[in-house]
Amino acid sequence: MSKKIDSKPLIELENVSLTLSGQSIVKDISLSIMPNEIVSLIGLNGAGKSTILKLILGIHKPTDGKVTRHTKRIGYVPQKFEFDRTIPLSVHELLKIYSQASDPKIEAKLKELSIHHLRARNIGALSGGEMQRVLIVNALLMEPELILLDEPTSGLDVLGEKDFYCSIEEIQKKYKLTVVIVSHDIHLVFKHAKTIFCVDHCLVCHGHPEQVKKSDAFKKLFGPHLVPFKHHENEPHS
Amino acid sequence: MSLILDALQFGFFQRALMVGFLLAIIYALLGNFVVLREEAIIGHTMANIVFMGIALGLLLSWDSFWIMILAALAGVLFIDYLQRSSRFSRDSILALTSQISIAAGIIILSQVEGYQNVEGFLFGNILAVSSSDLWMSLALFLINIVGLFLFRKQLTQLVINKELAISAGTNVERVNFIFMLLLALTVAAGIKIIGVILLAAFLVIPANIAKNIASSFKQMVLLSVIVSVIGVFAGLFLSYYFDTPSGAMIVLVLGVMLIVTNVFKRR
Repeated sequence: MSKKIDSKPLIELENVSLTLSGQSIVKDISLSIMPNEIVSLIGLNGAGKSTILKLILGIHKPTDGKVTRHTKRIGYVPQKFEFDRTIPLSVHELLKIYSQASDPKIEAKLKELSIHHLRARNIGALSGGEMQRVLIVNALLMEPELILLDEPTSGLDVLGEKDFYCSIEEIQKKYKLTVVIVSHDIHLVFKHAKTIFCVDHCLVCHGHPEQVKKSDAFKKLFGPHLVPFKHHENEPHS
Repeated sequence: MSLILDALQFGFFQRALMVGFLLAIIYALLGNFVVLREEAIIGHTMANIVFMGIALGLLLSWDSFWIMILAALAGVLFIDYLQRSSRFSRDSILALTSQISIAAGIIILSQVEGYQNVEGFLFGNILAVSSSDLWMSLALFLINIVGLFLFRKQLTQLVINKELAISAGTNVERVNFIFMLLLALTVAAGIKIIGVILLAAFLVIPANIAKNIASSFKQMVLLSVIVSVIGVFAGLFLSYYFDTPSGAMIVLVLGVMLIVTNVFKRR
Protein backbone atom coordinates (compact mmCIF):
# COMPACT_ATOMS: atom_id res chain seq x y z
CA MET A 1 0.00 0.00 0.00
CA SER A 2 2.71 2.43 1.02
CA LYS A 3 4.59 1.56 -2.16
CA LYS A 4 1.67 2.81 -4.22
CA ILE A 5 1.68 6.14 -2.39
CA ASP A 6 5.44 6.40 -2.82
CA SER A 7 5.36 5.58 -6.50
CA LYS A 8 4.70 9.17 -7.59
CA PRO A 9 7.97 10.98 -8.30
CA LEU A 10 8.84 14.15 -6.40
CA ILE A 11 10.81 15.57 -9.30
CA GLU A 12 10.62 14.84 -13.01
CA LEU A 13 13.02 16.05 -15.66
CA GLU A 14 11.82 15.47 -19.20
CA ASN A 15 14.34 15.90 -22.02
CA VAL A 16 15.97 18.77 -20.20
CA SER A 17 18.83 20.63 -21.85
CA LEU A 18 20.67 23.72 -20.74
CA THR A 19 22.95 25.92 -22.78
CA LEU A 20 24.84 28.74 -21.06
CA SER A 21 26.84 31.31 -23.04
CA GLY A 22 26.60 29.13 -26.14
CA GLN A 23 27.96 26.07 -24.33
CA SER A 24 25.85 22.98 -23.82
CA ILE A 25 26.02 22.10 -20.11
CA VAL A 26 23.48 19.28 -19.97
CA LYS A 27 21.67 17.64 -22.83
CA ASP A 28 18.43 15.73 -23.06
CA ILE A 29 18.28 14.59 -19.45
CA SER A 30 15.19 12.66 -18.38
CA LEU A 31 14.98 11.35 -14.85
CA SER A 32 12.56 10.92 -11.98
CA ILE A 33 13.38 11.27 -8.31
CA MET A 34 11.22 9.06 -6.17
CA PRO A 35 10.29 9.82 -2.56
CA ASN A 36 11.95 8.53 0.56
CA GLU A 37 15.32 7.44 -0.75
CA ILE A 38 18.90 8.56 -1.08
CA VAL A 39 19.70 9.35 -4.67
CA SER A 40 23.11 10.26 -5.97
CA LEU A 41 24.24 12.09 -9.07
CA ILE A 42 27.74 11.01 -9.97
CA GLY A 43 30.08 11.98 -12.78
CA LEU A 44 33.42 13.53 -13.46
CA ASN A 45 34.18 17.21 -12.84
CA GLY A 46 32.23 19.49 -15.17
CA ALA A 47 29.81 16.72 -16.17
CA GLY A 48 26.79 18.83 -15.24
CA LYS A 49 25.86 17.29 -11.86
CA SER A 50 25.54 20.55 -9.94
CA THR A 51 23.71 22.07 -12.90
CA ILE A 52 21.06 19.36 -12.63
CA LEU A 53 20.56 20.26 -8.96
CA LYS A 54 20.21 23.92 -9.92
CA LEU A 55 17.68 22.99 -12.61
CA ILE A 56 15.69 21.04 -10.01
CA LEU A 57 15.82 24.00 -7.67
CA GLY A 58 14.93 26.57 -10.34
CA ILE A 59 18.19 28.51 -10.16
CA HIS A 60 18.61 27.66 -13.85
CA LYS A 61 15.71 27.51 -16.29
CA PRO A 62 16.05 24.78 -18.92
CA THR A 63 16.74 25.84 -22.49
CA ASP A 64 14.69 22.83 -23.64
CA GLY A 65 12.54 20.29 -21.88
CA LYS A 66 10.55 20.47 -18.69
CA VAL A 67 11.24 20.29 -14.97
CA THR A 68 8.22 19.28 -12.88
CA ARG A 69 8.34 19.67 -9.11
CA HIS A 70 5.67 17.80 -7.19
CA THR A 71 6.87 19.41 -3.98
CA LYS A 72 7.66 22.95 -3.01
CA ARG A 73 9.47 21.94 0.15
CA ILE A 74 13.02 21.63 -1.11
CA GLY A 75 16.07 22.18 1.09
CA TYR A 76 19.37 23.02 -0.56
CA VAL A 77 22.96 22.84 0.61
CA PRO A 78 25.19 24.49 -2.00
CA GLN A 79 28.69 23.29 -2.82
CA LYS A 80 30.20 26.68 -2.17
CA PHE A 81 28.38 29.05 0.12
CA GLU A 82 29.78 32.32 -1.10
CA PHE A 83 29.14 35.33 1.09
CA ASP A 84 30.81 38.44 2.43
CA ARG A 85 32.83 37.06 5.38
CA THR A 86 32.88 40.45 7.07
CA ILE A 87 29.09 40.60 7.42
CA PRO A 88 28.08 40.75 11.10
CA LEU A 89 25.64 37.85 11.05
CA SER A 90 25.32 35.08 13.62
CA VAL A 91 24.40 31.48 12.83
CA HIS A 92 21.06 32.01 14.56
CA GLU A 93 20.33 35.12 12.48
CA LEU A 94 21.24 33.31 9.27
CA LEU A 95 18.86 30.46 10.07
CA LYS A 96 16.10 32.87 11.03
CA ILE A 97 16.46 34.86 7.81
CA TYR A 98 16.31 31.90 5.42
CA SER A 99 14.10 29.38 7.20
CA GLN A 100 11.82 31.87 9.00
CA ALA A 101 11.45 29.19 11.69
CA SER A 102 10.66 30.04 15.31
CA ASP A 103 13.48 30.43 17.84
CA PRO A 104 12.70 27.20 19.78
CA LYS A 105 12.63 25.26 16.53
CA ILE A 106 16.01 26.65 15.51
CA GLU A 107 17.45 25.85 18.94
CA ALA A 108 16.12 22.29 18.80
CA LYS A 109 17.49 21.65 15.33
CA LEU A 110 20.92 23.05 16.26
CA LYS A 111 20.99 20.70 19.25
CA GLU A 112 19.88 17.78 17.10
CA LEU A 113 22.84 18.24 14.77
CA SER A 114 25.17 18.86 17.72
CA ILE A 115 26.07 22.40 16.73
CA HIS A 116 24.16 24.36 19.35
CA HIS A 117 27.45 25.85 20.57
CA LEU A 118 27.71 27.66 17.21
CA ARG A 119 24.41 29.53 17.51
CA ALA A 120 25.93 32.92 18.43
CA ARG A 121 29.07 32.54 16.31
CA ASN A 122 29.57 34.89 13.38
CA ILE A 123 29.12 32.99 10.10
CA GLY A 124 32.38 34.42 8.79
CA ALA A 125 34.24 32.61 11.59
CA LEU A 126 32.91 29.12 10.79
CA SER A 127 35.07 26.35 9.34
CA GLY A 128 33.99 24.54 6.16
CA GLY A 129 32.60 21.58 8.09
CA GLU A 130 30.75 23.79 10.58
CA MET A 131 29.19 25.82 7.80
CA GLN A 132 28.14 22.59 6.09
CA ARG A 133 26.25 21.51 9.21
CA VAL A 134 24.66 24.94 9.63
CA LEU A 135 23.44 24.76 6.04
CA ILE A 136 21.99 21.29 6.66
CA VAL A 137 20.15 22.66 9.70
CA ASN A 138 18.89 25.48 7.50
CA ALA A 139 17.65 22.99 4.90
CA LEU A 140 15.96 20.84 7.58
CA LEU A 141 14.25 23.87 9.13
CA MET A 142 12.32 24.31 5.89
CA GLU A 143 10.65 20.97 6.69
CA PRO A 144 11.58 19.67 3.28
CA GLU A 145 10.39 16.59 1.47
CA LEU A 146 13.54 16.77 -0.63
CA ILE A 147 17.08 17.85 0.26
CA LEU A 148 19.62 18.63 -2.42
CA LEU A 149 23.26 18.33 -1.32
CA ASP A 150 25.89 19.59 -3.73
CA GLU A 151 29.29 17.97 -3.08
CA PRO A 152 28.60 18.04 0.67
CA THR A 153 31.86 16.41 1.70
CA SER A 154 34.24 18.46 -0.41
CA GLY A 155 35.64 20.32 2.61
CA LEU A 156 35.86 17.29 4.91
CA ASP A 157 38.57 14.73 5.68
CA VAL A 158 38.04 10.97 5.26
CA LEU A 159 36.57 10.45 8.74
CA GLY A 160 34.42 13.52 8.38
CA GLU A 161 33.06 12.18 5.09
CA LYS A 162 32.09 8.84 6.67
CA ASP A 163 30.40 10.58 9.61
CA PHE A 164 28.61 12.88 7.24
CA TYR A 165 27.12 10.07 5.17
CA CYS A 166 26.07 8.21 8.32
CA SER A 167 24.29 11.29 9.69
CA ILE A 168 22.61 11.90 6.35
CA GLU A 169 21.35 8.32 6.36
CA GLU A 170 20.01 8.80 9.90
CA ILE A 171 18.32 12.08 8.97
CA GLN A 172 16.82 10.53 5.85
CA LYS A 173 15.34 7.66 7.84
CA LYS A 174 14.15 9.82 10.70
CA TYR A 175 12.33 12.39 8.56
CA LYS A 176 11.52 10.06 5.65
CA LEU A 177 13.13 12.50 3.27
CA THR A 178 14.37 12.19 -0.23
CA VAL A 179 18.03 13.14 -0.37
CA VAL A 180 19.83 13.92 -3.61
CA ILE A 181 23.60 14.01 -3.25
CA VAL A 182 25.97 15.24 -5.91
CA SER A 183 29.31 13.61 -5.39
CA HIS A 184 32.29 12.13 -7.08
CA ASP A 185 33.20 10.03 -4.06
CA ILE A 186 31.79 6.85 -5.55
CA HIS A 187 32.95 4.67 -2.63
CA LEU A 188 30.61 6.24 -0.12
CA VAL A 189 27.87 7.02 -2.59
CA PHE A 190 27.59 3.36 -3.63
CA LYS A 191 27.38 2.38 0.01
CA HIS A 192 24.64 4.80 1.00
CA ALA A 193 22.57 5.64 -2.09
CA LYS A 194 19.64 3.59 -3.29
CA THR A 195 19.54 5.02 -6.78
CA ILE A 196 22.43 6.34 -8.83
CA PHE A 197 22.30 8.64 -11.84
CA CYS A 198 25.55 8.70 -13.73
CA VAL A 199 25.99 11.91 -15.69
CA ASP A 200 28.35 12.98 -18.43
CA HIS A 201 26.45 16.03 -19.78
CA CYS A 202 23.72 13.53 -20.60
CA LEU A 203 22.45 10.64 -18.51
CA VAL A 204 24.77 7.72 -19.28
CA CYS A 205 23.27 5.13 -16.90
CA HIS A 206 21.10 4.89 -13.82
CA GLY A 207 19.57 2.45 -11.38
CA HIS A 208 20.47 0.56 -8.23
CA PRO A 209 24.18 0.86 -7.33
CA GLU A 210 24.81 -2.79 -8.20
CA GLN A 211 23.22 -2.36 -11.62
CA VAL A 212 25.10 0.84 -12.32
CA LYS A 213 28.38 -0.70 -11.23
CA LYS A 214 27.98 -3.40 -13.86
CA SER A 215 26.96 -1.13 -16.72
CA ASP A 216 29.43 -0.60 -19.53
CA ALA A 217 28.74 3.12 -19.64
CA PHE A 218 29.75 3.44 -16.00
CA LYS A 219 32.88 1.34 -16.45
CA LYS A 220 33.86 3.40 -19.47
CA LEU A 221 33.42 6.65 -17.57
CA PHE A 222 34.98 5.70 -14.25
CA GLY A 223 37.37 2.94 -15.42
CA PRO A 224 40.28 3.43 -13.00
CA HIS A 225 38.05 4.30 -10.04
CA LEU A 226 36.28 0.97 -10.21
CA VAL A 227 39.17 -1.00 -8.72
CA PRO A 228 38.15 -0.72 -5.03
CA PHE A 229 34.74 -2.11 -5.86
CA LYS A 230 35.90 -5.28 -7.55
CA HIS A 231 35.52 -7.37 -4.43
CA HIS A 232 31.81 -6.49 -4.40
CA GLU A 233 31.22 -7.63 -7.93
CA ASN A 234 30.33 -11.25 -7.08
CA GLU A 235 28.20 -10.43 -4.10
CA PRO A 236 24.49 -11.09 -4.51
CA HIS A 237 22.28 -8.05 -5.11
CA SER A 238 20.63 -6.69 -2.06
CA MET B 1 24.76 75.09 23.81
CA SER B 2 24.09 78.68 22.88
CA LEU B 3 25.29 77.81 19.37
CA ILE B 4 22.62 75.13 19.10
CA LEU B 5 19.89 77.42 20.41
CA ASP B 6 21.09 80.17 18.14
CA ALA B 7 20.90 77.97 15.05
CA LEU B 8 17.52 76.54 16.03
CA GLN B 9 15.92 79.99 15.88
CA PHE B 10 15.99 79.86 12.11
CA GLY B 11 13.17 78.20 10.20
CA PHE B 12 15.51 77.11 7.38
CA PHE B 13 17.78 75.39 9.92
CA GLN B 14 14.86 73.57 11.56
CA ARG B 15 13.67 72.39 8.14
CA ALA B 16 17.21 71.28 7.24
CA LEU B 17 17.39 69.26 10.48
CA MET B 18 14.04 67.61 9.84
CA VAL B 19 14.76 66.80 6.18
CA GLY B 20 18.26 65.66 7.08
CA PHE B 21 16.87 63.43 9.82
CA LEU B 22 14.37 61.75 7.47
CA LEU B 23 16.79 61.34 4.56
CA ALA B 24 19.59 60.13 6.85
CA ILE B 25 17.36 57.30 8.05
CA ILE B 26 16.16 56.32 4.56
CA TYR B 27 19.59 56.33 2.96
CA ALA B 28 21.20 54.52 5.89
CA LEU B 29 18.59 51.75 5.71
CA LEU B 30 18.98 51.39 1.94
CA GLY B 31 22.75 51.71 2.37
CA ASN B 32 22.95 48.49 4.40
CA PHE B 33 21.74 46.54 1.39
CA VAL B 34 23.84 48.60 -1.05
CA VAL B 35 27.01 47.89 0.95
CA LEU B 36 26.30 44.20 1.48
CA ARG B 37 25.49 43.79 -2.23
CA GLU B 38 28.94 45.29 -2.84
CA GLU B 39 27.38 47.94 -5.04
CA ALA B 40 28.76 51.11 -3.50
CA ILE B 41 28.83 52.69 -6.95
CA ILE B 42 25.07 52.40 -7.36
CA GLY B 43 24.39 55.77 -5.69
CA HIS B 44 26.54 57.52 -8.29
CA THR B 45 24.99 55.51 -11.11
CA MET B 46 21.44 56.42 -10.15
CA ALA B 47 22.45 60.02 -9.51
CA ASN B 48 24.08 60.32 -12.93
CA ILE B 49 21.00 58.87 -14.59
CA VAL B 50 18.90 61.47 -12.78
CA PHE B 51 21.38 64.18 -13.83
CA MET B 52 20.79 63.17 -17.45
CA GLY B 53 17.06 63.46 -16.75
CA ILE B 54 17.48 66.93 -15.26
CA ALA B 55 19.47 68.03 -18.32
CA LEU B 56 16.80 66.63 -20.61
CA GLY B 57 14.12 68.41 -18.60
CA LEU B 58 15.96 71.72 -18.94
CA LEU B 59 16.40 71.23 -22.69
CA LEU B 60 12.75 70.41 -23.23
CA SER B 61 11.50 72.81 -20.51
CA TRP B 62 9.65 69.96 -18.79
CA ASP B 63 8.88 69.73 -15.10
CA SER B 64 12.14 68.59 -13.51
CA PHE B 65 10.64 66.48 -10.70
CA TRP B 66 8.70 64.13 -12.93
CA ILE B 67 11.45 63.85 -15.49
CA MET B 68 13.86 62.93 -12.68
CA ILE B 69 11.52 60.15 -11.57
CA LEU B 70 11.05 58.98 -15.17
CA ALA B 71 14.81 59.01 -15.78
CA ALA B 72 15.41 56.97 -12.63
CA LEU B 73 12.80 54.39 -13.67
CA ALA B 74 14.24 54.23 -17.19
CA GLY B 75 17.67 53.72 -15.61
CA VAL B 76 16.43 50.81 -13.48
CA LEU B 77 14.89 49.17 -16.55
CA PHE B 78 18.10 49.71 -18.53
CA ILE B 79 20.25 48.15 -15.79
CA ASP B 80 17.78 45.28 -15.48
CA TYR B 81 17.85 44.76 -19.27
CA LEU B 82 21.67 44.66 -19.37
CA GLN B 83 21.71 42.32 -16.38
CA ARG B 84 19.46 39.84 -18.18
CA SER B 85 20.76 40.11 -21.71
CA SER B 86 24.47 40.85 -21.53
CA ARG B 87 27.59 39.05 -20.36
CA PHE B 88 28.78 42.09 -18.41
CA SER B 89 29.36 41.77 -14.70
CA ARG B 90 27.06 43.66 -12.34
CA ASP B 91 29.72 46.23 -11.34
CA SER B 92 30.59 46.85 -14.99
CA ILE B 93 26.91 47.43 -15.81
CA LEU B 94 26.60 49.97 -12.98
CA ALA B 95 29.85 51.72 -13.92
CA LEU B 96 29.15 51.92 -17.65
CA THR B 97 25.58 53.12 -17.09
CA SER B 98 26.94 55.81 -14.81
CA GLN B 99 29.56 56.95 -17.33
CA ILE B 100 27.18 56.96 -20.30
CA SER B 101 24.55 58.88 -18.31
CA ILE B 102 26.89 61.64 -17.16
CA ALA B 103 28.35 61.99 -20.65
CA ALA B 104 24.88 62.24 -22.17
CA GLY B 105 23.83 64.68 -19.43
CA ILE B 106 26.77 67.00 -20.08
CA ILE B 107 26.15 66.98 -23.85
CA ILE B 108 22.46 67.70 -23.36
CA LEU B 109 23.27 70.47 -20.86
CA SER B 110 25.71 72.05 -23.31
CA GLN B 111 22.76 72.56 -25.65
CA VAL B 112 20.73 74.40 -23.02
CA GLU B 113 21.25 78.10 -23.57
CA GLY B 114 22.90 79.96 -20.71
CA TYR B 115 22.85 77.03 -18.28
CA GLN B 116 26.16 75.87 -16.91
CA ASN B 117 25.46 75.30 -13.23
CA VAL B 118 26.06 71.69 -12.26
CA GLU B 119 27.18 72.61 -8.74
CA GLY B 120 23.68 72.39 -7.34
CA PHE B 121 23.39 68.89 -8.73
CA LEU B 122 26.67 67.85 -7.13
CA PHE B 123 26.24 69.39 -3.68
CA GLY B 124 22.55 70.20 -3.36
CA ASN B 125 21.63 72.66 -0.64
CA ILE B 126 20.11 71.16 2.45
CA LEU B 127 19.82 74.59 4.09
CA ALA B 128 17.58 75.85 1.30
CA VAL B 129 14.86 73.21 1.63
CA SER B 130 11.27 74.36 1.33
CA SER B 131 8.17 73.07 3.10
CA SER B 132 7.29 71.03 -0.01
CA ASP B 133 10.73 69.40 0.18
CA LEU B 134 9.94 68.50 3.77
CA TRP B 135 6.64 66.89 2.77
CA MET B 136 8.30 65.05 -0.08
CA SER B 137 10.99 63.74 2.30
CA LEU B 138 8.28 62.55 4.66
CA ALA B 139 6.45 60.74 1.82
CA LEU B 140 9.74 59.19 0.73
CA PHE B 141 10.45 58.15 4.31
CA LEU B 142 7.10 56.40 4.63
CA ILE B 143 7.39 54.64 1.24
CA ASN B 144 10.84 53.34 2.16
CA ILE B 145 9.93 52.27 5.67
CA VAL B 146 6.92 50.30 4.39
CA GLY B 147 8.82 48.83 1.40
CA LEU B 148 11.88 47.83 3.39
CA PHE B 149 9.79 46.44 6.24
CA LEU B 150 7.70 44.28 3.90
CA PHE B 151 10.69 42.90 2.01
CA ARG B 152 13.29 42.93 4.79
CA LYS B 153 13.71 39.15 4.94
CA GLN B 154 13.87 38.63 1.18
CA LEU B 155 16.29 41.54 0.72
CA THR B 156 18.55 40.19 3.44
CA GLN B 157 18.40 36.69 1.96
CA LEU B 158 19.40 38.13 -1.39
CA VAL B 159 22.41 40.06 -0.11
CA ILE B 160 23.79 37.05 1.76
CA ASN B 161 23.42 34.37 -0.91
CA LYS B 162 21.21 34.37 -4.00
CA GLU B 163 21.05 30.59 -4.40
CA LEU B 164 19.88 30.02 -0.83
CA ALA B 165 17.32 32.78 -1.32
CA ILE B 166 15.91 30.91 -4.33
CA SER B 167 15.83 27.68 -2.34
CA ALA B 168 13.89 29.51 0.38
CA GLY B 169 11.24 30.30 -2.25
CA THR B 170 12.13 33.95 -2.78
CA ASN B 171 11.50 35.44 -6.20
CA VAL B 172 14.92 37.08 -6.39
CA GLU B 173 14.29 38.92 -9.64
CA ARG B 174 11.17 40.56 -8.25
CA VAL B 175 12.83 41.48 -4.96
CA ASN B 176 15.83 42.88 -6.81
CA PHE B 177 13.58 44.98 -9.02
CA ILE B 178 11.64 46.32 -6.05
CA PHE B 179 14.88 47.29 -4.32
CA MET B 180 16.18 49.06 -7.40
CA LEU B 181 12.87 50.86 -7.77
CA LEU B 182 12.94 52.06 -4.16
CA LEU B 183 16.53 53.19 -4.58
CA ALA B 184 15.84 54.96 -7.87
CA LEU B 185 12.85 56.80 -6.46
CA THR B 186 14.77 57.82 -3.35
CA VAL B 187 17.80 59.01 -5.30
CA ALA B 188 15.68 60.91 -7.83
CA ALA B 189 13.67 62.67 -5.16
CA GLY B 190 16.60 63.34 -2.84
CA ILE B 191 19.13 64.60 -5.36
CA LYS B 192 17.77 68.15 -5.56
CA ILE B 193 17.90 68.50 -1.78
CA ILE B 194 21.20 66.92 -0.86
CA GLY B 195 23.09 66.50 -4.15
CA VAL B 196 25.07 63.58 -5.52
CA ILE B 197 28.00 63.70 -3.14
CA LEU B 198 26.06 63.72 0.12
CA LEU B 199 23.59 61.19 -1.25
CA ALA B 200 26.32 58.73 -2.27
CA ALA B 201 28.03 59.27 1.10
CA PHE B 202 24.78 58.58 2.98
CA LEU B 203 24.36 55.34 1.06
CA VAL B 204 27.84 54.02 1.73
CA ILE B 205 29.49 55.51 4.83
CA PRO B 206 26.97 54.87 7.67
CA ALA B 207 26.48 51.22 6.69
CA ASN B 208 30.25 50.69 6.58
CA ILE B 209 30.71 52.36 9.97
CA ALA B 210 28.00 50.11 11.39
CA LYS B 211 29.57 47.04 9.77
CA ASN B 212 32.82 47.90 11.53
CA ILE B 213 31.33 47.81 15.01
CA ALA B 214 28.16 45.72 14.90
CA SER B 215 28.13 42.15 16.12
CA SER B 216 24.81 41.20 14.52
CA PHE B 217 22.86 42.19 11.43
CA LYS B 218 20.13 43.85 13.49
CA GLN B 219 22.78 45.92 15.25
CA MET B 220 24.29 46.90 11.91
CA VAL B 221 20.97 48.25 10.63
CA LEU B 222 20.26 50.12 13.86
CA LEU B 223 23.78 51.56 14.16
CA SER B 224 23.81 52.71 10.53
CA VAL B 225 20.69 54.78 11.22
CA ILE B 226 22.08 56.24 14.47
CA VAL B 227 25.41 57.08 12.87
CA SER B 228 23.73 58.67 9.86
CA VAL B 229 21.51 60.87 12.04
CA ILE B 230 24.48 61.89 14.22
CA GLY B 231 26.37 62.76 11.02
CA VAL B 232 23.56 65.05 9.82
CA PHE B 233 23.04 66.81 13.14
CA ALA B 234 26.73 67.25 13.94
CA GLY B 235 27.51 68.26 10.33
CA LEU B 236 24.75 70.86 10.23
CA PHE B 237 25.69 72.46 13.55
CA LEU B 238 29.40 72.45 12.71
CA SER B 239 28.73 73.98 9.29
CA TYR B 240 26.69 76.70 11.00
CA TYR B 241 29.48 77.33 13.52
CA PHE B 242 32.35 77.34 11.04
CA ASP B 243 30.28 78.83 8.22
CA THR B 244 31.15 76.07 5.76
CA PRO B 245 29.05 74.20 3.15
CA SER B 246 26.67 71.96 5.07
CA GLY B 247 26.64 68.91 2.76
CA ALA B 248 30.42 68.74 2.68
CA MET B 249 30.61 69.08 6.49
CA ILE B 250 28.15 66.18 6.96
CA VAL B 251 30.29 63.99 4.69
CA LEU B 252 33.40 65.01 6.64
CA VAL B 253 31.82 64.14 10.00
CA LEU B 254 30.78 60.73 8.63
CA GLY B 255 34.31 60.28 7.26
CA VAL B 256 35.86 60.96 10.68
CA MET B 257 33.49 58.44 12.30
CA LEU B 258 34.45 55.88 9.66
CA ILE B 259 38.16 56.29 10.37
CA VAL B 260 37.68 56.15 14.15
CA THR B 261 35.51 53.00 14.00
CA ASN B 262 37.99 51.39 11.65
CA VAL B 263 40.65 51.75 14.34
CA PHE B 264 38.38 50.32 17.04
CA LYS B 265 36.55 47.82 14.85
CA ARG B 266 35.07 44.53 16.02
CA ARG B 267 37.55 41.67 15.81
